[in-house]
Amino acid sequence: MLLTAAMRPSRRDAEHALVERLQAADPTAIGEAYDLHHGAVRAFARRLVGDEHAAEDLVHDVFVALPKAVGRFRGDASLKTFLIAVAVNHARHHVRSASRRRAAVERMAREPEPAGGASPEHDLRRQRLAVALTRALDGLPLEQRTAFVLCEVEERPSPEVAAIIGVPEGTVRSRLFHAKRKLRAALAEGEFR
Amino acid sequence: MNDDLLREATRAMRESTTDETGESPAAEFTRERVMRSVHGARRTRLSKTVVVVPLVAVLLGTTAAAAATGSLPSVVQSALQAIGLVEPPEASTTDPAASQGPATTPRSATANDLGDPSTAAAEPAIDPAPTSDTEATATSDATLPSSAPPRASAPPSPAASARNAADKLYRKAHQLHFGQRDYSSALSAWNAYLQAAPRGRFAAEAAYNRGICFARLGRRAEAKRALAPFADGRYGGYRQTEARALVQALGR
Repeated sequence: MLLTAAMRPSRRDAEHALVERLQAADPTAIGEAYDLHHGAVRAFARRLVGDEHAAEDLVHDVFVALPKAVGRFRGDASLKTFLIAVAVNHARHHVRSASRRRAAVERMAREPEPAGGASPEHDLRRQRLAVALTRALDGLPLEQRTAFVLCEVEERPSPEVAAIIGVPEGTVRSRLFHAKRKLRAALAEGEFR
Repeated sequence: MNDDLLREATRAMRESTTDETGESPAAEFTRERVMRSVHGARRTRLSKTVVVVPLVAVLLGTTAAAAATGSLPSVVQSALQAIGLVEPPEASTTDPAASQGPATTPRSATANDLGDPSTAAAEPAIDPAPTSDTEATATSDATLPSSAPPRASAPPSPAASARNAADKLYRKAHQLHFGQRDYSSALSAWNAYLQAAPRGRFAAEAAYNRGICFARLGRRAEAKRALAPFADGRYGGYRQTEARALVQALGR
């Protein structure tokens, strides 16, 4: 407990120093920021975009945009949260193209089955559910999709989500409500009835 | 039931896309891409700074100096010529000595500019006067001298006043010749300009256009006399090729 409390300020200081170097356009600082936070950004990107390649492109865009974007960083959230906000701002194009690609593949009936034919049945069902949810998310407006991924998949508290998206909490809750309603309907219509 | 399904799907998505902070080929590849892009953007910014800033500084300095010395139109013309937006110089921007001397660098004439002199000779009824391409003029108003004094702050010197008066005459002659195509009036105007500024900035151009006016008016002998100095190279290479072709055509 004491150790954790002692580490917190030093971690904050380290992050503060990193942000200062980012603001000074130090290229090595971008590499450090990437090493520290690419996992979180990638996970969010994959959940939001639903496509690994598009998610990698989004991760790339986030860190390339970081030197400019960091000028807006005020330090009231962590750098990781700030990076998620940058990802949200850059996601529109990637979500749209990934969604289009999925729709095209589906139309051509060439959507590959999720890997894991030899896995136990519940693993396969879980993977299919994740794919089905991604497809259902494609039917949502980006704002509702982002709210759902941040609140439900990433389990972030609504004040943090509101800060990331830059809207009031009430708006986040409203978007989440509509997103869930549509997703329930979409899943119910699918193969998992 | 639906809630359970959504919760299960959400959990499935969460677990299938975990927050992997470890190294993976994709993460490594993306890291390399990021660093390449960042360095590339940095290099682009740097080269822009190294190239663009001095260029802008030189441009501003030149413009300021040109504005201060009253030669801004000439500088603008030169710049436009350098980037190929206007035709090459036709003596309008040279100083009097250069425009009269052999150092003048005229646009090289081509057969297309001149038309075919042999055709003119074969058909004597055709006006041997050249097309407007062969007439010595600037194609844009930017080449025309400005009648406004270059610096309003200081009273114009007598020399400047004389130059302004000559420039006005030039503008009038230019307008009559190329705007109204009134060659009779243009001839008088070119004569007036040459009388006012026999060694003026546009003297060579005016003398050449005077010859063209004679040709347009069918006064062949006078046209030949006016163009002969150009054909003989007394104005250096200025309009020499065109003048030779015209003199030859007029002589037939």
